[in-house]
Parts: sequence; C-alpha cells; structure tokens
Amino acid sequence: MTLEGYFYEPGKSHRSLARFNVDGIKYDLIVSEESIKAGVISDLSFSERIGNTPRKVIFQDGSVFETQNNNQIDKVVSKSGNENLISRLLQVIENKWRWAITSIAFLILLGYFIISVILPWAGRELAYIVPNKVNETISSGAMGLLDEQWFDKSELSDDKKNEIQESFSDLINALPNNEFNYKLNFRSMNGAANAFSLPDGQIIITDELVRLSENPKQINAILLHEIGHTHNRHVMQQMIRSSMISVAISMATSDLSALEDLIVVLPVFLIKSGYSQDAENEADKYMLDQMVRLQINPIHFANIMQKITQDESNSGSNVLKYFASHPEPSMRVKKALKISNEFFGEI
Amino acid sequence: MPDKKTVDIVFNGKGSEYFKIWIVNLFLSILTLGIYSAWAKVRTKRYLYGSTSIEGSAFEYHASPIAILKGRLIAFALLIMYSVLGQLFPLFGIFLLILLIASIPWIVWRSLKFNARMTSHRNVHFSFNGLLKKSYLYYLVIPYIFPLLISLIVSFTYSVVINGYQIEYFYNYLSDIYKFSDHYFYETLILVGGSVSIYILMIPYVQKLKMSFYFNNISFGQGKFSSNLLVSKFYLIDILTFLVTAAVILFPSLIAYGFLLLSAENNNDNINEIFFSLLFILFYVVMLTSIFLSTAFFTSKIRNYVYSNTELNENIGINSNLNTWKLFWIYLSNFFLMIFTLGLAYPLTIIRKTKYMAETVSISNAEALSLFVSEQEQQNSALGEEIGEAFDVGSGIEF
Repeated sequence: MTLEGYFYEPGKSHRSLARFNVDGIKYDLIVSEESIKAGVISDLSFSERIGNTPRKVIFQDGSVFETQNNNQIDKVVSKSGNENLISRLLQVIENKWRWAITSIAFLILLGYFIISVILPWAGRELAYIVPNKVNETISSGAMGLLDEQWFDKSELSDDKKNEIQESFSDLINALPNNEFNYKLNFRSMNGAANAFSLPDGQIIITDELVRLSENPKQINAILLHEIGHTHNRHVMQQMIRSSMISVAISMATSDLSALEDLIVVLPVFLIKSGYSQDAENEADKYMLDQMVRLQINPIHFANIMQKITQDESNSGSNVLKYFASHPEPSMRVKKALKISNEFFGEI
Repeated sequence: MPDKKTVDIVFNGKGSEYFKIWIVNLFLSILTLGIYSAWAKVRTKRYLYGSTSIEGSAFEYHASPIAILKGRLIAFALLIMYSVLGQLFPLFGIFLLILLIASIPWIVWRSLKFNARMTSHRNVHFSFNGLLKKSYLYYLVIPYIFPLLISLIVSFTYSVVINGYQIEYFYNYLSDIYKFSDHYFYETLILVGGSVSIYILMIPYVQKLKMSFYFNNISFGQGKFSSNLLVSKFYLIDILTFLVTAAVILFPSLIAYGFLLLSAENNNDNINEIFFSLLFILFYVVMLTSIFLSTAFFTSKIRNYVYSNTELNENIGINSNLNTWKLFWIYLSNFFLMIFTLGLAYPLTIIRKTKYMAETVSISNAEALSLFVSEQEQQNSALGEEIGEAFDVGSGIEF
C-alpha cells in the first residue's frame, strides 16, 4: 500500500512531497524517486486519530511523515502492533453515530435519574442535618420579606385570635415529639384565604381563612397540614435541591456559558412544580395521621377545603391562591372523607 | 517588491464530525466524574488545530492530558484549601485572596508559555518568551495599582490642602477615611471615583500593551513575530465600540419611551398588558443585539488591525479580513441554534465560528514558512507550567 504526504526532517519546517510504501511489515519512504528511509513498521510511532485531521508517522530519528490518508494509516497502525487500545477504542466510538446517540440517550437518562432519584434523596438526607439555627435565620429573613411585600396586619378581634391561639396550643401540646417551636401568626393578605409555614415552625394564617372557617377544628386541620410541611422539612429540601442543581449545572457546563442561565432556571422551575405535589401529599398524610390519632374528624378538613374552593371560584383573580401548587382539591377532599368514614363512621 | 504568494488559512472541521467527538467527550467526562475532561480538552484542541491548515499543512496541539489533569488537580486542591482555610480563619482567607490576585500575572504568563509551546505547525513549535516582570507590569501594575496610587495621592493632597489633614498621619489616612467616610466624603469620592475613571480611561492602552506583549514575544521556531501597534487606534476602536453599543440601546429605548407616554394616556388594562410583554421582548432583543453587535465590531476591528500589523521573521505577513456584520450574524444565529436545540448544536456553533475566524486570515510570502527550525530546549515543559492552563484566566488575547 502507498500513502502520499509530506516528509519533514527532525524539527524543520521544510517539507518535501513523499510516498510511504508499506509491504507486509516492511516500509520504505520515497522522496523525489529516492528511498531515504526503510525498516519495519513496528519501529515507528503514530499520532492518534481524531476525526479526519492529518496523521503523523514518527521515525526513530524524530523525522516525520504527515498524511491525510487516515483509513490507510489505521491499517498500518494495527499491523505495527504499536496500537494503543484505549485510543483505538476512543477512535471507534468517536466515529460512529450510534455511539453518539447512545451517549445522548445515556446523558438524558442520567439527568433524569439524578433529578428524580439522587437529588430528592440527597435533599431529604441533608434537610434533617441542617442545624435549627439555619432554619431560624432563614425564617426570620423570610418573615421580614413577606411582611414587607405581601402581608398586612391582621384585622381579627383579639377574642377571635385568643380563641384560635388556645386551640392551637392545645393541638401543639397533643403532638408527639415537637422538635420545632411552633408559633401561630395572624396576617391579612388582600382578602386571600391562605396559610403558610416557615422552616423554623412559624405558621401564618390569613384573616380570610379564619373568616371562612366554621369552627376551630377546621382551622386546626389546616394548621396540621402546615405543621406537616415543617415537620417534613419541605422548604429546606426544596432549597437544597435547587441549589444543588444550580451548582451541578454550572460545574458541568463551564463552557456553555451562553445557555447557562436558561438551563439553570428551567429545571428548578420544573422540579418546583413536580416536587410540591409530593410535598403537599406528604403534608396531608401527616395531617390525617395526627387527626386520627387526636380523634379529630377529617371531615373538618373536607369542609374547609370545600369552603376555600368555593371562595376562590367566586373571587376570581386573587394574588396568591391556596391551590396554586396544591394537588387537585377534590382528590384531597375524597381522601379525607374516606378516612373520616373508616374511623368515625358515616355522619 | 517581488511577487509574493498570498494564501488563505483553510479550516476543514465539520459540525457532524466534531459533534461525535464532543458528545463522547461529554459522556466520558460525566462518567469519570470530570477526570476525563483533561483528555476531552486535548482531543477538542487537537481536532480544531488539526483542522486548520496553511497550504495543506495543519496546526497541531501537543499537550499531554496527564499534564493538564495534574494542573487541574493542583488548582482544585488550592481552591479547596482556600475555601476551608477561609472559613476557619477569615483573616487568612483575605491574605490568600490577595495572594491569588498577586499571582494572576504569573498564571497568565505560565499559560501563554504553555499554550505556545504546545502548538506546532509544519513540525516546528511555537514559543512565548515574554518576561515575567512585564506580565506583572501589564496585568497588575498598570491597570490596577497605578490608578489606585494616583487617586490615593490626589485624594491625600486634597485632604491636606483643603481639609487640613496632618501630613504625618499619612499611614492612618486610609483607615481614617474608611472609618469616617461621612466626614471625608470628597476624599472618598476622589479615591474611588478617581481610580475607577483612570482604570476605564486606560482600558484601550492596557489592551494595546497586552497585545504588543504577546505578539512581540511569540516565536515560531527561531523566527520571531513582531507587531507594531499604535495606541491611538485602540482608543478609536474602543470609542466606536462604545458608540455602537450606545446606539443599539438608545434607539429602541426612545421608541419604548414614546410608547410608554402613549400608554399612560389611555388607561386600558388589556392594551397595557400586551404592551408590557412587547416591551419585555424588545428589551431582550436589544440586549442581545447590543452584546453581539458590539462584540462583533470590537473583535473584527481589533483582530484585523493587530494581525495586519504583525509579521513573522520580518518577511511573512499576516492579514485578517473579518467583517463585523458576518461575525454578528454568526453570533446571533449560533445563539438561536443553541436555544432551539437545547445546547446540542454547541459543536456546530464552535465549528461555524472557528471556520469564519480562521478562513478570514491569510498569509503572504507563505513559501518562506519552510525555513524554520524548532529550538530544541523548548520541547520540555517547565515544571508547573500546566497550572497556568488550569486556572483558565483570560489573558485578554484571543488567538
């Protein structure tokens, strides 16, 4: 076999047209019809193949033969016995579309696995390690912001507040192993019926929700749901997951800076809505378990839920809807009614 | 002048070919938790260099992945050490930060040397022989220390002459104006405003110094590059770039302002909602256009000027013929390619940009390229040179 190319003396930029002949394991190099080098191919070294970039044959004295004929050189390399297995493997997978597609599929699967399995697991594990001091710092900051941006002072009467506070402290005292110092705050939020929980155990309930409720047990149901969020460290889990995604993406795509912002925002957003459903279900589960344990009929939850649903469909566009990220309310009502039937019988 | 042959640089890289290399690189880098990224970097550079050729002879990249991995591991260890020690001893953290800033010129110098040495064409290596003290001058002293020092002196003189500050308290001056910044309002203003404005005013000058530093100290074998650059040209290009950016931002802003006045008159909620989403889109378009257009303008003008005034061995000329609009189109279309393929078109965007940047360069008297010889001692990399590569500090020179 004969390959055309250029010959360079060691370290010199002068090039001569050359022919490289290989016959079995022997080679000779011909420059202007004259054989200037001959020997066996096992004495030669070869540059790695990358795409279709030119290849070099390096002779023992350091002189070089350069050629574009990649396919022929590959045959010579494998015959010479000087083939590096890893580079041969890389060369194969870099050249085949099926390996490229396999890589894409693998990357998508890996991304899915990390987002749906690894991150939730790590978030859950880490959220329980975070010291309470951190929870308190975050919560007081968040409370300040919420008061500034969203909340106004509660307009409920002191009697009403005291009544709810009393039934709330009875509820808290009846709960098992309180790791958090639960506190109830009253705020008004532009007529929206809503309740929030912060990671350190502070719970906020809006005037409208109190007004919609028919008895303290209904409020307790909502409060138990909010305690469920704190108890399961949902806020902390979500924060850990979002920040882990941002860090991982900025590490992995250090050279994709143009897209970085887009990529960082997208999954955080996707996960947030996917995650909240699970969190709500978990908080509901906590609430229903405690209601059964404390002998409060879950029917109260079903009732207040229906009240809120009606209220929201009546009032149209409220700033923040209680159900904005919550699972379908009718499903939750059904679940509460089912448990109510099981444990407390038909009413 | 004798008739000299001028040849264009040719770039043979293909999007489809590079895509396969890139995706395998990405895959293996993730699979090996980043260790393979050193190999990925070498293979990428080898592909891009190997696809660039002058008269059928390609460039070649020689760095060994192990050396790059070693540099990255050292850099990573330093980073860990910095964040751990910085957490434990905040004061020591500040000391380390100062140390890091003070070592940036060294890192730049190291990486310039490393990259030049690892590049060859026609069997002959490049080399960078700039002096370390010059690197300190151009990357630290002139851009940062000089503006600070000048404004400190002016601020201090002002304080002494106008406010009756005692000269012998010079050593307390900085801590005094820091502690009583209300009382020393004008002193602080002169110090901060002065250093920032001197820094900004000197940007074109510093760009010129860095380019000259690079193109007058790089060699191809025994042949030296030389570059004769005028600072006035840099000021001109920078001012024009500023004007281009300002025009792109100002024009639509005026239109938006007009709309805003109109919408204030008729208080229709629906129209306002549509209007604000339009305004948001407009803002985004303007931002992108101004970034891409000013970058394209600056890059093409600077590169054309610098290349055309650089020669090798006093007999081989280089010429660059970048066009602002064509480059702008490549930036813009690359951006949308990335968006619509969720990043999968990244290799294609690199190929398109590299191809245009390479193929607008031509070499005159290319026959003379056959007369160079590698200098033997260049071949061995000095210890720690690869660390410069790992930090990936911008040198202000794109080649």
